[in-house]
Amino acid sequence: MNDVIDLSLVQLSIAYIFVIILLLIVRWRGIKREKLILIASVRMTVQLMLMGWWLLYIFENPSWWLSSIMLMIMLSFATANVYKRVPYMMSGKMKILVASALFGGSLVSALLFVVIIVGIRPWYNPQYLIPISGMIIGNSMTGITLALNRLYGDFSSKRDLIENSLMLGATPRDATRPLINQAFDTALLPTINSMVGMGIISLPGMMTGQILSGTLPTTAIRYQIGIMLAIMGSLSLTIITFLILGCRFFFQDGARLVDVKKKANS
Amino acid sequence: MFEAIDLKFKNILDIERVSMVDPIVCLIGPSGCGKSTLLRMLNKMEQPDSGAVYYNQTDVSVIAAVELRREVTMLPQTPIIYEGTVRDNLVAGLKLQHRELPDDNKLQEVLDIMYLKLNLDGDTSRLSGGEKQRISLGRVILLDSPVYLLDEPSAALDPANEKRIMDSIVSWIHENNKQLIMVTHAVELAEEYAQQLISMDGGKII
Repeated sequence: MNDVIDLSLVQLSIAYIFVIILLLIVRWRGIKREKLILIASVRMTVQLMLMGWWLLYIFENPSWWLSSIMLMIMLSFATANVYKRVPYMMSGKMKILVASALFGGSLVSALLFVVIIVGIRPWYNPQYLIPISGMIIGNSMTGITLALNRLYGDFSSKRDLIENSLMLGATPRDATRPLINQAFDTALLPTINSMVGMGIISLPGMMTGQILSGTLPTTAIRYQIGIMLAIMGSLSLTIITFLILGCRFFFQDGARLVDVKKKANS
Repeated sequence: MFEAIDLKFKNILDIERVSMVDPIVCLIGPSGCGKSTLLRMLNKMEQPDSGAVYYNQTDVSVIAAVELRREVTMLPQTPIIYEGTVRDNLVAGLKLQHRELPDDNKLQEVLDIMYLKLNLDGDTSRLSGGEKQRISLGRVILLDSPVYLLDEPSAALDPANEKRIMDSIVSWIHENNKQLIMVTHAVELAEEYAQQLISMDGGKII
């Protein structure tokens, strides 16, 4: 394979022409999004630059504690992002459960993939552990956000249906079984859909990145297949743990429903 | 048999003492007087701020909610229809309680009690409000519970059907030795069927 072509800062700055095009379009159409577009572009640039330098440092100084800190930071940001993107008031217990499911599900799947499937030694090799964990955490974050939104939405809109089942003598678990299944389905569907189109409609980012950096496409594809399966595993573990345990928090003593409230700003 | 003593709930309910012992008990009173809230307290869908509800001389607070609701079945005012066919809806309660499902003859019998001429495998998405109400009633009848709490069971029925369906339910209650505690806006209906009539106003028994 050819060596990778380095992208100079001058070359990179030319790519910002796309931001200018977008700014011109929103200004022309009178869509008030200029500020957000500028903030998003600057944040993306700064965050990725910092991440690049930070990763360079970690790659040059591999250690278990630096990799662990990196994983904890990524998971903490992912958890905070989930809290922010759910427009419902979550109890303290629910927040702890969301964090536990996200940490547990993502870490188990990432370590299983890196250590057992790929067989990376040492396990904390940052070149593998961090990007692979990042993809798994990112997808788990999206999945759990979808599941939470669906679950809270259903507990709010289908309150009468759940209460009716309780009045008919159902246990809370039986009364909420359809809601749990629907939330699980909602969380998994985007991943399953993307798997259907993968290789025909889309070439995934990880695979494209590996190919650009000189890896053989056949090797890149094997990694991509493995990571997609790991993502699916992580999602299933995270979402089902969260849903089965989390449903309890929608009930109070005497198998009665608690009120679901929206956040003030949503 | 129920008894409620010193029952208080927010500013909705303030009941000193009431007993419900007869087979057919009707709760009547203006909208918002606390009838439905009292009904919900009888099967622990609401928790009183103070006071107690007794079911067969046992404080309901010591009975597990699910266990109580399997003896004391409540039907809310708004009929609820589950996804699926007429059959799925009729057996929904039995399924939720993990009980054996009846054969089609039994289901047809329940449809007859409700004066419903529907195909058991028919779709439920285009049913009228009255038909939904009658399917919901059929669903609770199939549970064969000792006590029924019905909140405005005839509210969605047209006047022509209201009388004959209520006649049918009340006969079934008597024939099967059940107790029916019913909230209704129809005073004439309540006076006709009830052995015990409880009038409420402003959260109190009057």
